[in-house]
Amino acid sequence: DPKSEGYLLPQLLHWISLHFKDCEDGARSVLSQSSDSPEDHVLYWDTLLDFVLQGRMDQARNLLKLHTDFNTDMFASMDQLLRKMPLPSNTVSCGDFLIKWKNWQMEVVSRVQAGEFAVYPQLNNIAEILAGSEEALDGMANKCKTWYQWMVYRLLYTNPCVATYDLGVYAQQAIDRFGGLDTLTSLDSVLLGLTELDLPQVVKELCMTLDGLWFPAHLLDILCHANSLNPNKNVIPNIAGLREYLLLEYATSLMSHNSLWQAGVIYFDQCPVQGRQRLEALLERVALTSNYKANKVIHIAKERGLHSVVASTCKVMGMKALAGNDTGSAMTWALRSGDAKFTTFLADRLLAEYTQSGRFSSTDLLDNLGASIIVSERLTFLGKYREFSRMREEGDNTGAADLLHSLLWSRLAPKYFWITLLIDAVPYLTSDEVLFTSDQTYQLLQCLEELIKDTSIPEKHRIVLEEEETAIRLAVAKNLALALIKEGDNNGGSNSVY
Amino acid sequence: MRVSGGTSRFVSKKCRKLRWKPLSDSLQIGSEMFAIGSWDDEENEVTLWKSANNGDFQLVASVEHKGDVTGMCWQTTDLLATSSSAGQANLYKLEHKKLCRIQEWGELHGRGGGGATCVAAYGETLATAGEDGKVNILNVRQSNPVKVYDSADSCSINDIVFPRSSELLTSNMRGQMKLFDLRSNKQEASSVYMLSNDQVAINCLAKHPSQGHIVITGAENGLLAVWDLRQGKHPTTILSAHKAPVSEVKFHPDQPDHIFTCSQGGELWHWNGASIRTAGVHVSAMNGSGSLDTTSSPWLSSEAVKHKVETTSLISQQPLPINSIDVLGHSVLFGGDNEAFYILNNILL
Repeated sequence: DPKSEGYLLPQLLHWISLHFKDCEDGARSVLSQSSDSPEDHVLYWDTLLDFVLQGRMDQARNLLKLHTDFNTDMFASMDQLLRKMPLPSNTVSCGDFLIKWKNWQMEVVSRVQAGEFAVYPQLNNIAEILAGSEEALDGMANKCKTWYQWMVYRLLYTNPCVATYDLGVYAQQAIDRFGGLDTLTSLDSVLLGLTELDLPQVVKELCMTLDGLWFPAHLLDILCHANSLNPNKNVIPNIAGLREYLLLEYATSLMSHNSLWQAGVIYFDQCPVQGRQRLEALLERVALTSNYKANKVIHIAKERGLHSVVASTCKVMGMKALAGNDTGSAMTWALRSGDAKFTTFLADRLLAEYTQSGRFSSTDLLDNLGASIIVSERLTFLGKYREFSRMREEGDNTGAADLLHSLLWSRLAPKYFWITLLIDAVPYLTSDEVLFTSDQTYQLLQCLEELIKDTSIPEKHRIVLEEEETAIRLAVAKNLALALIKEGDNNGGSNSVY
Repeated sequence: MRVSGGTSRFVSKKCRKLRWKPLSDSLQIGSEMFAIGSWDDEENEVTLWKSANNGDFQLVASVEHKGDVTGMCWQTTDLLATSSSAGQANLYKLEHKKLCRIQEWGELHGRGGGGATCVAAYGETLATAGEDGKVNILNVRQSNPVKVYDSADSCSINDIVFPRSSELLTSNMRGQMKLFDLRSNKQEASSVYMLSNDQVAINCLAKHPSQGHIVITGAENGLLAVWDLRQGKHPTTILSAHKAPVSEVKFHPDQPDHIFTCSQGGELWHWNGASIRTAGVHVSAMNGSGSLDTTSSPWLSSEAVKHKVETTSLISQQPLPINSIDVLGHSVLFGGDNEAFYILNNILL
């Protein structure tokens, strides 16, 4: 239903000729029957009439020439009329064309009235049609399958310069002739809406009758683009809103499909007002059936700056991994999401695994945390504790002792782990080499005291604490003694100068 | 670099892996066949296509596939192996224009929704790895796995390749590569390689066709890395390539100075390493002997690669990701989530 500057009728004729091709079949049939009198073919006159009605003058004349009586005057006269009929073209203005056409039609009328075609009733009928006689055209209605076919035929011979805004009137007349509004099919309603330039009506009909929104959405999109190219912009008011509404609905329906959701994303990109919010909400609902798919969702979200979707997808994948007992993958997802709480939770899990089994399950993760070690304090502790563990294995006693002390004193370690750390400290306290300074030893003692006074630690830790307390105190005391002596020696060494 | 002529076809299934069928003899040039594995549909399938001389395509065979096709490779000219997101591996044989499944290894990878994520072949041996961090070694003649590495990795494995018949290389979602020696009985990797200290997944591996110690990887942040497996634990060179995750990297099988990459952002690039040689830059391999090894690949020379490699984009950027790419002779085959495959012919190398 466009807005062009040219004539409306040629386009309508073209449309009709595309949909109602019976005349072509008829012509083929007539031509294929090679007989001396083709006009006796049952379809001859019908086909000829069809061509005339559709304004296909050349084909009509070709058929006419086949008639055995072609050489007679009346046939020649008809041929001339057909040949001379003016057809709208872009080079001629509407006014000029109308004058030519009216002249032509007057010629037709005069010839009819002179009785030139009286002998051949079929020919006379054609002439009447050319003359635009309402009676003749009305008679044609029975030949037409649909109201719009008839409407166009009528327009061709009564008002070839019809404008778009007048089309509605003719449509209405045609519908009345064909049984009124009650008999309209949904296609008819759509076409009626088009003739009346009632776009919301058209869209409403399309949405109601068609299965999906593919057609209305794309149609509106094309119209919108065409509209924006049009100099007088508000030919169709509020079209952008309507287009966006349809595209959003269509894209939403795509998102629920397990495979077409990716196409849905692209549609949302084309909706400037609400596309992004809707995409954000719906992207989270895409079923994350594998890492591969989750990565795709994350990439789509990242590209569009939907960081909350990135974070929540990573968390969902992390939880899934955890449900499958895959703490390593879960931690990687947690780090990717940057979520401190989840990371802390997983770090606690890994620490619990360690206390149970005495080994770390994901050493290659912990050894290579890199920058992500700071995501959560618990993770930092876990990384550092793993480092301590490695130092212990490698026999780096000084480094290990130092690290151990700082883990406790800096309060990086979670309370529930202090007892483990203190127990770890005992071999270093009781070693022959003095690994802790006296200050450090005092601090360790302080940590122990604090732990004992803390009433909130769980029962089983309390039991372990009670068992080990004496051993720890003994070790601390021993180390303190040795450390003080060693420091005294150092001080004493300098004192002896005096 | 000129590309002339490309053809495409809509297949109404999202393409996950596309692989040229190996030519059984050189007379077949001009009527190459290729297989496509689909994903993310209710019913996925493996289809075999043949390109006719007039640029049209013909569907030769198609067979249902349970789960997404996550990995695909031709074992021989008639045997096609796939790995599935349902956790199994399948072997199909092309017989009388039909694809029949002759072998299925089920439940190789259970845990994790993605099942098996990749498959690689060397001779009669197949290897699969999965989201559960397991690696299975299979033999085409046996219905049970020959060897299983239960905890090959502590997180999901993304890709796998055989650098040599006795070695297996995997890459994981954390940016680590692990090399396994198949002859030993150990369950752990013999070497571990790290991309960087950030947890960036390595999505794909490509092995140099003739020099098995050279590997190129594509990462989730769009970086390409060149590795020499004999030297050090870190990449020789890192190239910032695509802005989107790299989906696949491929060496040209006959001319390994050329590699091709595709990304989730819909890009397809051709990297011409031959210009490094012609630029007259010393291609020095970092071997301990100190002498110049002129047979070494130009990809190992890091400075040259950064400045001299010519990169061409073969297509305009697509709105949807390109998932897979394969190259044979002068033709590049690729496809992705827009449910179509494309072939670019006459790639100049």
